[in-house]
Amino acid sequence: MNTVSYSQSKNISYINDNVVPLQINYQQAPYAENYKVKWTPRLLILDSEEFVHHQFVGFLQPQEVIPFLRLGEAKMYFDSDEFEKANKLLDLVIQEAAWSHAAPEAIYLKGVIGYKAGKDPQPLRDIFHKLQKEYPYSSWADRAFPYWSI
Amino acid sequence: MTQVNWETEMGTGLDRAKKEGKPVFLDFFNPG
Repeated sequence: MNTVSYSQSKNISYINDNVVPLQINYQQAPYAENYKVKWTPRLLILDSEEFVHHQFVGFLQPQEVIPFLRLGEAKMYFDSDEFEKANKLLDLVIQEAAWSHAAPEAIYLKGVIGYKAGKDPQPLRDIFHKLQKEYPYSSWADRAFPYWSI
Repeated sequence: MTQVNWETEMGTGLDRAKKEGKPVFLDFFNPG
């Protein structure tokens, strides 16, 4: 990851400006046991209380780094009911990285936030249709399947 | 900026996250 995904200038700038980057050896106690690190790379997004909001195992291609970080930060805000902040980041993932692995989950979360904001099921129906059309093989399309009929 | 400015201690990372209002991006790595 250091020589490929973390070496691109765009990723370096984004990481240094928007998150606190922390690298720990996968065998270091007590974290290896606390986080059950069994394979690397293992990437996590934490808040300042060490609560895990998002994680990934395996190599992350350079173009996937920023969408991954934006989705992780959005999930941190989602988990603390800061929906406006979450939505801004999700929009960036959807609009600027529609090709990324993060995009289908960003669409799903945005629909859930839309539902929570108005108690109207239309945003859930919308994400079902969008995911079926644009990401039919994504697990997120499957997760939205029940929403077609509500 | 030519490289990522990684923290290497959990406590320092969490303190910075609180002060700067940012998430922590934790990378468990294998130095090989």
